Amino acid sequence: MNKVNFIVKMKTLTFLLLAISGSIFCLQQSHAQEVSSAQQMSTSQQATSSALSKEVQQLKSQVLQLNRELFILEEDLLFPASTQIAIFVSVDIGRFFKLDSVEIKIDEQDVAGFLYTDRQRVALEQGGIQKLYLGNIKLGVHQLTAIFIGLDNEGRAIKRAINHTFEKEDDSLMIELKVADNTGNYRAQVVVEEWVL
Amino acid sequence: MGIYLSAYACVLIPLTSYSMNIDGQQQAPINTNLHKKYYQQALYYYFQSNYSAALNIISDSKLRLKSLDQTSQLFTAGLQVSLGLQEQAKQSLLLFDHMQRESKERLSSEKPFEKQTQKNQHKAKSEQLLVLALLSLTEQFIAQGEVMQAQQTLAKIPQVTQRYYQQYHVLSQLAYWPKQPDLLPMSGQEGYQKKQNVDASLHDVVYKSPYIQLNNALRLIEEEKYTQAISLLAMIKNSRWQAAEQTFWQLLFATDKDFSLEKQAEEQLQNQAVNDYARLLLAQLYTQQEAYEKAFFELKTFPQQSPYTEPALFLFAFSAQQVKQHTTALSLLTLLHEQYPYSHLGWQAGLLMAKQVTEQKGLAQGWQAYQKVEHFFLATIEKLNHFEKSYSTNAELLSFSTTTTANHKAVKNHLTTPFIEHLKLEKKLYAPESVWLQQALYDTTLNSLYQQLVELTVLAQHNQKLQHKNDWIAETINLNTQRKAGIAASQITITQQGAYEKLLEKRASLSAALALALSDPQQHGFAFANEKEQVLLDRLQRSKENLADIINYSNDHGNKDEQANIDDYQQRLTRISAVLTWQISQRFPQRAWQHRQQLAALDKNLKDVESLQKKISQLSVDTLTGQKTHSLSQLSNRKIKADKQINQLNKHLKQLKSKVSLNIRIKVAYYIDQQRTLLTQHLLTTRSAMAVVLEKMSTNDKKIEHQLNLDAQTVKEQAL
Repeated sequence: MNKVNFIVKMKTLTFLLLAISGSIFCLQQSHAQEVSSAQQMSTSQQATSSALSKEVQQLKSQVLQLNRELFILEEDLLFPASTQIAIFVSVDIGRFFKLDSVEIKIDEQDVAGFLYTDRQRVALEQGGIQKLYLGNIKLGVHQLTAIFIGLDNEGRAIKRAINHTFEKEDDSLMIELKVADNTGNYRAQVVVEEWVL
Repeated sequence: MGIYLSAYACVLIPLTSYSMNIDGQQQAPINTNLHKKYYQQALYYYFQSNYSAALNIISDSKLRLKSLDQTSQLFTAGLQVSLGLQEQAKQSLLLFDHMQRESKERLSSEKPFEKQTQKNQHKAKSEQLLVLALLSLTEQFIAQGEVMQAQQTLAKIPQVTQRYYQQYHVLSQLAYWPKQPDLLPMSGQEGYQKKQNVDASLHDVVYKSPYIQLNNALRLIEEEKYTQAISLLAMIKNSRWQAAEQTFWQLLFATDKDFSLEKQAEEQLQNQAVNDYARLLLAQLYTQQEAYEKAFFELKTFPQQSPYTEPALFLFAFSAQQVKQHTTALSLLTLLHEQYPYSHLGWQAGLLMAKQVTEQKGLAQGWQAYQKVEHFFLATIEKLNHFEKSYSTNAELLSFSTTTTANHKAVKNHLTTPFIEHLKLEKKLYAPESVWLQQALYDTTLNSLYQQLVELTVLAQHNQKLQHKNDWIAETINLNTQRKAGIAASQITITQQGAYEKLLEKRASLSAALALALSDPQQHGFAFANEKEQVLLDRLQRSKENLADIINYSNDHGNKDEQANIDDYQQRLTRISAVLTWQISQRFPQRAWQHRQQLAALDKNLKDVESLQKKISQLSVDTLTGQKTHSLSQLSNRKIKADKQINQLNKHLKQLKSKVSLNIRIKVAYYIDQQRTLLTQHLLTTRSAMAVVLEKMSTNDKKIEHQLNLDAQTVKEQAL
């Protein structure tokens, strides 16, 4: 509503200026002519501006589209489906675990780590999913280890870890690591969900 | 956070679960809802204000999943609004509307026995979201001065609930001003839980909201119903309101959202602004009706820190003049003239001040005051000319009069635009130091044009980055092509050498030997002898051959003495052979089993090698023919396509930038002309007032001279 407020203000100012200058300086006639010619010019300029605005929007949209296409092209080139693995992190709801950082290992090798800012943590708590890692692995059986570090609801530092064995096949593999609140024992637990495509 | 969570819970989840229900037959129950997952990935970026990245994720999902669900569709529209893509947002909203209608039809045909309340619930919520989106879009169009577009968008709103009625009312007033908008009646759909029992007090709250009331007051003034307007404004200036809590979707479509904004402070500022505005309007009405005393008292307590200080100060000075509060009026006019040297009100204040000095302090001082004002106007015209010259000679508009200090906050007027860098949206400012340009930018069209120029510049920079990325992709494709060519060459070499076939032959011979050994262990049991046993068997064989040679030699030469030794050798050889045979036969079953296992393992390995070889061959063929979706040749084609697009975009960007720049220059030139005309008019008014003062002074002088002459004549006459 701020913008509306601003517009209301501008309209009033114009209204006041016209009224006051009219009453004080008796320039009504010439001013009225100027106002009408200015209005005509303003209408034509508005039309031009609108057309330009549409063109700019179209270009902006094209640039965004191109950006996306290149992004997908890059992903297809660097991470083909037959070797691709993506790991996601989500938080449900985060009352018992305030996420601070995460470490990911595949077959005992460190592959990803992330230190969260408050904003990123809140984004996860509000329902966001973070794509933490995108990489390539060979076909076959592998082991994923995830270690989540954070604070419990009393501010004590805690860790939650999970081991998950999975098999990489020809399709893209997507694994979601969900830090979920367990209301039964008032603790957070890590749940692994392999997305079924 | 609570707000977002509650909104997320109450608006978002029902829609999503609904879409899952109606799509039940398309998605197998075990399949992950990828639409939802992509949407959540976009949310992660959205909550960090990275709208372009969020939009990328949603578009990516559309490309990969071939469709969007309702929630994602609406979310796309919201992100497009945030990125200033109004046209695209309109298209997305049309699609959303279409999807809504389709789902309604499906709902009624697929689940005819479902409770009516549930159907209504879904319908009402979807419509609410559509209304919200359309209202936000209208707000953006109005902010850009595109009134026709705003009117068209408003016309698409089917019905408005209480929650959004205030916004709808104000936006309609603004879009149709000064005409009376044809407003839709308030719908009671939002309270469907209460079964049509519309809360009357909520109605009151909505209709008595500050913005609606202010707009009503403006309307009354426009219709010259001053008494009603005055009583309404008198009520507004002392009232206080509480801003309604914003939902997730309201925040999504709000263009000035700031998740860290202190709500209370913002609310207080808005309340204050509404009160001040009402008070100013009231004083203006009093002035129009020549009730100057009332206007004077109304503005006496007007706050110093307000967005409306300048017009209030002018009106206060004017009313003070009219109620003969000359000292106050003079100080106020002087203050206004000095503090606002670039404002129209400041210029008028200068003239009024000189006029008052003339009336109050005499012609001589008045003359001096007018001289000062004349000098001021001449100097201002000179400054304006200087500004015009420097502006027209400046080639790059966005580098004109830019501040070198980081003190952006001090600059009153600034332009903001989404800045896309590494898929991260940031704000980029254009804050000119020139006060003339700052004033000119109050014009919505010019402001919008500058906004477009900033956006085009940012897009050109981004396009450059895309070009670099594309070059890098080309390099990577090239390296991969070389690598694949190397692999293909080595595969050909392996094929030519017939390594696999040799392996197969060897396996076949091993298999045959094993079969033979198994069929006749007595005869062929030695096939499983270990290394040490094999050495012994070889020695035994050599010894047997040597003994045979000795026997032959002895028979040929008739050496009968040797016969005893030969017998002894033979006995020893037979004994050793029997022991070795016995040992090997003892271990035969175990070894036979081991060899069978090894052969089976070998078979499996050979099969794996065979399938791998086939796969490589297939890949190689696909790469050559370009049949694989992500084959390098296809990727390369996509890269070439992107290259062409980048070049085209660059061309368009350049053309559009020069078009926008030209329009800005025309608009600024028009603004300069307007200011110059106004200043010249003021200068002429000053000079004509000066002429009047001079005339009066001359008349006075003549009068005095005449009087003096008369006096002199009288004295002379008396002396004579």
